[in-house]
Amino acid sequence: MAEGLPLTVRDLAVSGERGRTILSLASLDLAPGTALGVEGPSGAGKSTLIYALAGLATRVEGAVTWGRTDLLSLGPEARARFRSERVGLIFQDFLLFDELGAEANAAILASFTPRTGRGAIRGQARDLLDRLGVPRAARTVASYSGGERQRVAVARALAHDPMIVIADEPTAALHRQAADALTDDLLTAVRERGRTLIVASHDERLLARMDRRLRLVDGALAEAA
Amino acid sequence: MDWWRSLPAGGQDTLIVVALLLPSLIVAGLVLSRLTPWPLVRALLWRFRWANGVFVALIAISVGMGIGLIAQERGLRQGTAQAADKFDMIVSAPGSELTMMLAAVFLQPSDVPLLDGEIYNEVTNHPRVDVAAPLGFGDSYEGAPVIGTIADFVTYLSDDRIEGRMWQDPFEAIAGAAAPVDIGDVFVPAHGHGASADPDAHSDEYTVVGRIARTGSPWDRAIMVPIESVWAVHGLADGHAPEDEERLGPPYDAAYFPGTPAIVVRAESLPATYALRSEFSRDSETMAFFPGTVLSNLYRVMGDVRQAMSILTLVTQMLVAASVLLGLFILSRLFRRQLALLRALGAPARFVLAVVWSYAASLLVTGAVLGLALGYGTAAVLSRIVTQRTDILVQASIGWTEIHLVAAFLSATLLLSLIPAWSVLRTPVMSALRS
Ligand SMILES: Nc1ncnc2c1ncn2[C@@H]1O[C@H](COP(=O)(O)OP(=O)(O)OP(=O)(O)O)[C@@H](O)[C@H]1O
Ligand SMILES: [Mg+2]
Repeated sequence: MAEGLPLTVRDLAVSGERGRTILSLASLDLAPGTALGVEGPSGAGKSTLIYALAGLATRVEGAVTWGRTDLLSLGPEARARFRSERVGLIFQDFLLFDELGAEANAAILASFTPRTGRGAIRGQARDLLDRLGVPRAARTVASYSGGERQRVAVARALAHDPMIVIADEPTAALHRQAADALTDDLLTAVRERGRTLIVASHDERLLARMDRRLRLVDGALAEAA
Repeated sequence: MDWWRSLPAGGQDTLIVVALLLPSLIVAGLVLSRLTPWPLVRALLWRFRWANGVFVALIAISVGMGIGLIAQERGLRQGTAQAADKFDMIVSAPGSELTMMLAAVFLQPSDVPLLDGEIYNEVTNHPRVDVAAPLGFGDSYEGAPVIGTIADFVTYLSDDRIEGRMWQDPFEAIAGAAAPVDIGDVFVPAHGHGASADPDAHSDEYTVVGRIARTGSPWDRAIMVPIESVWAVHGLADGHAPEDEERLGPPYDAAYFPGTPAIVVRAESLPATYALRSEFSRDSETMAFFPGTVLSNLYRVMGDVRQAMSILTLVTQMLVAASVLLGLFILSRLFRRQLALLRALGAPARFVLAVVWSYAASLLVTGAVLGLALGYGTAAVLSRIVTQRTDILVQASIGWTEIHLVAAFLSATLLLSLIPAWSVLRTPVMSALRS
């Protein structure tokens, strides 16, 4: 079974547009396969942290090391390649391609990854959609319900079999029942492959099921659980 | 260079098209290789179909107008040249060559002085002259000019493609292919042309006995009759001495020859044509000229107009390219979020470039191809109208000039559309995602 990647963060500092530091994190170590919940009040820097961990932050200092990859030392193209190979991203407001259907959305990475892996991505996307119970209609995802859309997003995040899954408030746009179902699906998918999961969330029911929790207040670590 | 000149004309033109498109093809290869942006591009095209439709229409109309004008201008030039093809040389009284050409070739008569029988006989009896036809203008029937001439000229003009038979009597007529009479019809010509024509001036009836094939010139609308009858109808001598009254056609007796405004001359050879021109170019007596030369002088003058037109076309083309560019900037704003999402998911910059560029390329290629079709259509409709109005056979065709123009436009805009594609890449991913 594939192992998730370990994470080491040292002296991470992200600054905003006017040079103000909006997040600083001296140290964080995560064992492979850990599910980490990031909590904190609105504006605390949760999104900032997890996008920095995905290599998407600009104006960032310090080191974010996944396994043997020192992500922040890489250029934007290499970071993008790292994400397309290792990272699955899930967003609060789904961010699907409204003009495409569920399958095309879930397998979008097959449009630009090396040809040899494309079949696997498409097959995986179809399996995931079936397992997550997403209707495989011919219509575009614009007409799907919120819960369905977020499950398409989960399928997209997992279709290329990433060892890291990063989610920003994946349940925030969903009602309680859909949020719980999604939490189940997400955790099942992560656990069965030993993936490392990092979720930023306000959702206590989701956070309670994490291995570790990390609380941010005003861009700094408040307490570790 | 020798190699280039040794190519057939079509080969050179094809190579120019390839050379014009080559930079875009190379860009396409570099941008698109090993990527599959099409499903996404198709979906985006469909999503913004109305904006795209307006875009494509804008490109098609501007390209089409430019193409149509250029094609039409060439069609006119070829049509008029073709209409004058049978008129190697014209001898007339000194005056304006243009006026004479318009009268003899394009049947736009005006009052011109006449040549007398001596000169006519001198021309027609010249050993190097094949056909020397006098022309008699002045009458019309239902708007079609009735023109007096000789049988040899009708045969020459129609290449002997005469349906029915040649006239044998002064009051028999041969109809042009588009004349308003048919074989067997009987008509009385009106004196004069157009609105001022007097239908009751004459009472002599003509019978149509033949019809010539299409010549692609205003002569198609004409009704040709023996010139003797035209003279007779106007109360003039009929060209023959009283004892030779029965004769139809040359030789004419100079003493009884009422005069002709123009003699259409066909010489035995090209050198002979030049020799005849200098021989019959006599100050204050006769003027000899080649309608083809008059036309090319005219084209040369119009060449400046054409140049101005080409520049205008180019300028509009550039304006369209600029608005296309602007439009692409706006469109790429529309899907900024989608493109940022691609970057976040790990797409290489080249993929984002490929999406925006393919999108732009789809619009540009569609617009340009539709424009080519539209240009052809415009030229075809204009040509039909011109042909209908003037009987000068103008044929619309898309030539290499137009294809080169479209290829250059396409190539330039395809390369330019890399700019908006590039600018999309410069927006930070996170800010685009959060917006
Ligand atoms: N590019 C930027 N420049 C300046 N400030 C920024 C920038 N991006 C985010 N911020 C600020 O940094 C702080 C942290 O933002 P972040 O989105 O990480 O918060 P969050 O914890 O995810 O909040 P929420 O729970 O509302 O999503 C906020 O005050 C935000 O306004
Ligand atoms: Mg947030």
